[in-house]
Amino acid sequence: MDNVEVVGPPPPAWADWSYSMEFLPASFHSKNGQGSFSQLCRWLKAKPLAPLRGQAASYGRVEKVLLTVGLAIRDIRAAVFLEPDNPKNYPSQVANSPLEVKDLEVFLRHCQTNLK
Amino acid sequence: MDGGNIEFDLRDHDGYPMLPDIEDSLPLGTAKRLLRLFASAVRGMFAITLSAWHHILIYYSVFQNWPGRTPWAKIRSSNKDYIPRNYRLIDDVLDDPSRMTEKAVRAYLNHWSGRQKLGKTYALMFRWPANSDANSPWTSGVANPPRRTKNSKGKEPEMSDMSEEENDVEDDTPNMSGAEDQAGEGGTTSDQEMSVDGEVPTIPSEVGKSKRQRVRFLRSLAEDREYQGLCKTLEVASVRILS
Repeated sequence: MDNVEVVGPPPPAWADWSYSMEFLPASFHSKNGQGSFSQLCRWLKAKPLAPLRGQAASYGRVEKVLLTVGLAIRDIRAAVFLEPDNPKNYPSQVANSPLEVKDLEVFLRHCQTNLK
Repeated sequence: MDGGNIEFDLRDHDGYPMLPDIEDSLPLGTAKRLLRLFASAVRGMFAITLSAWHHILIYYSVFQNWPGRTPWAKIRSSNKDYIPRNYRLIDDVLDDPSRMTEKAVRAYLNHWSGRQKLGKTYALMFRWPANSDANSPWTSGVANPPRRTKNSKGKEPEMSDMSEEENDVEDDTPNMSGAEDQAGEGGTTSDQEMSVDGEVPTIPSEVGKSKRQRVRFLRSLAEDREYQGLCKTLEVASVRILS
């Protein structure tokens, strides 16, 4: 695992370059609970790119945050824009995800507000 | 610019690569590398996106964003099918730079540089022939294909950024398979330096450890403007191509 500064709540376990799945785990595709979409929103609210001890976020921290956010956006988008006639290409947690367009919008708003 | 590193500046608003000034004294070898890398950068890194951060549903890919290596053999076989008329020259064929004459290399660089200096929307753009039967790259491992969706009024987004001359480019969904791309030129020596431009993995653990590979992966995850803007902060390594 890459060394990054610890700022705020820890990112989810899948937010790492060693993650070996194309889609995020079922826990993410939940509105609540450990590793859920809501928990990731709370992580975003803690401003993970905020300066630490007066120092701007390091390359490693920015990279990690973008990996986290990017994987989440990709998964939410997959769930939201799932082709109803062809769900078999997606794992069940994505095909049956409760996440909706409004969740995507909420997430993007959090990104806009908190990734500065 | 010397014969070593070639680094493109990127336009702020859309990340389109910018050619450096082309001088007559530019060594031929450097000119060929520049042409190759610029074509690759335009082909692989650029796709028009009109999405706003909070209007995720509106975005629109116009022409390229091909994964894999530049299909020089196919481009050579039919310049007019792959390159809209304003971006190609009548008297010179765009080909793998290693096969081009000095006159043709300099003519193309000067043509594209001239367009850039005139403030044309694009110095170079490619399109995928409408009669191609190749598989779509979006089904061959590219993580996050641009989607063509309609806006809330049911209309396609307008290409307000495009001048009239660019509108002759068809709205082709790019249709290039990375595997076919790589097979197209049989892996010439000059292509090997571009091997990092292969398909973008879809799984983090399959991404290489270089900054460039990682940034390419990150950029493939989400089209959103602000996300892409943040990716640019990591992008130095992805636009600096080491000799």
